Amino acid sequence: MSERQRLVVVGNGMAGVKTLEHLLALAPERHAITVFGAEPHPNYNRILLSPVLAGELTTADIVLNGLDWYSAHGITLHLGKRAVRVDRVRRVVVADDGTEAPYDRLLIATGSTPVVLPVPGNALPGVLTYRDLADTGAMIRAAAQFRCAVVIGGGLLGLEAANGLRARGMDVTVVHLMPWLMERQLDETAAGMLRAALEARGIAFRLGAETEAVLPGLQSRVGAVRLKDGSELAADLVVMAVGIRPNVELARTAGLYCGRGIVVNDTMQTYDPRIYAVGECVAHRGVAYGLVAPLYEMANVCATHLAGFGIGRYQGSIPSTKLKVTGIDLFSAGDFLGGGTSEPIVLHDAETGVYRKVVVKDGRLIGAVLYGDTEGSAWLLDRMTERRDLSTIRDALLFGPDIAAMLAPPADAPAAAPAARMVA
Amino acid sequence: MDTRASAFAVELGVLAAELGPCCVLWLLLIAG
Repeated sequence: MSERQRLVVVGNGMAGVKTLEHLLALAPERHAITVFGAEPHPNYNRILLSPVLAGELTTADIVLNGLDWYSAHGITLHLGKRAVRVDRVRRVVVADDGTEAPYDRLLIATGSTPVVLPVPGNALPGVLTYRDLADTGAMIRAAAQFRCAVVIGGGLLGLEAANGLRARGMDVTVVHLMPWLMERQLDETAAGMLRAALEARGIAFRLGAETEAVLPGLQSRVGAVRLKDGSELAADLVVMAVGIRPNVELARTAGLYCGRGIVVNDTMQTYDPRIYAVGECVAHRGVAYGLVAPLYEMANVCATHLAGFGIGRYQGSIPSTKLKVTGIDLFSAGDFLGGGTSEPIVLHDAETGVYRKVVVKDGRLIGAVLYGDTEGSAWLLDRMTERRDLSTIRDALLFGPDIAAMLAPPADAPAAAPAARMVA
Repeated sequence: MDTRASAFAVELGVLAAELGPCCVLWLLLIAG
């Protein structure tokens, strides 16, 4: 036991624990592992908070690793303890209750914090962000007591929150600063279709609207949201979903170099070679990711290095996303707007509510938006990632792997084969 | 409040923990 390296993980979220899962598969005996988690829960799937809010799943359904998993792997778990200091000279992590854990290797996976709009009234009771199980629980309790909700932010998270609150019977209005919804994932046409689908469910929208203040109502609780145009929206609950900010304070106070996030190299190592970082708290090549797929790729690379194999480099990801709203199929990846010399190829069937758009540049697929029919989305993402010339199957890109396999010359056939299996 | 001097001191401390204080002193003398 004494020969084991001491690995301390700060952050019990998806990226940190995914790294541990890979590491334990690669080198189960190499480390004595200690995990600090600020939340009182074992590791859970944060992405599935939306189905929990909508009442489609329970909290127990989204737990990824129960307490028995930690004990089975000999992991010392400190739940509800926030790491507040890293003493890099003594190589010790200190938690808010004074708990200390010495390390030989440290993995920082502190995630991110939701941005709270700097407007008057943003700290009133009933004003929430949407990040963790506690937020979700508070929203569920509010939905049981109150009637009107305003969601500020018409991005992925905001719309999932709005849908969940609507499913629990609240009157929901989404306030969004930009002219169309999910502008970082959708073009105007797809966003319009999404808006129509959500309006049909009873969600109202105020697009191009800026929040000026959150106003108090009865008993000092939130009562309304005032917009810059002077109009007011009644609100018993306000959910702010306007973006996230990487949690870098711990790293910054430890003297680690931080930009937008904790700066890491392609092996997920910070400027202190004993300290690694993964997840939403990281800035890799100047990019901080907030979606799960890149975080899992980082976790995989980091684990190989912690395991001592010294292989694998993380070279960045193409952001891709799916909206987790039951009954609405939506996929977006890469540069879906195009522009310049890129060529958009579009199929739009308004009757059936299907919109498929791929963007090609110099023969390579660089982006896609699929709405209503997301068949072949994984295949498209693979084609984007491999950055290969797809001129020979250009005409079939919109229709997915089956048609592309028919068009492809023999040299291209292997690339189409795995996706064809996936569809079958 | 962190300053450049204290940040430098932290880095020296980390280096001393890795290499040993004598080694760091020797490096500082060479650099000086």
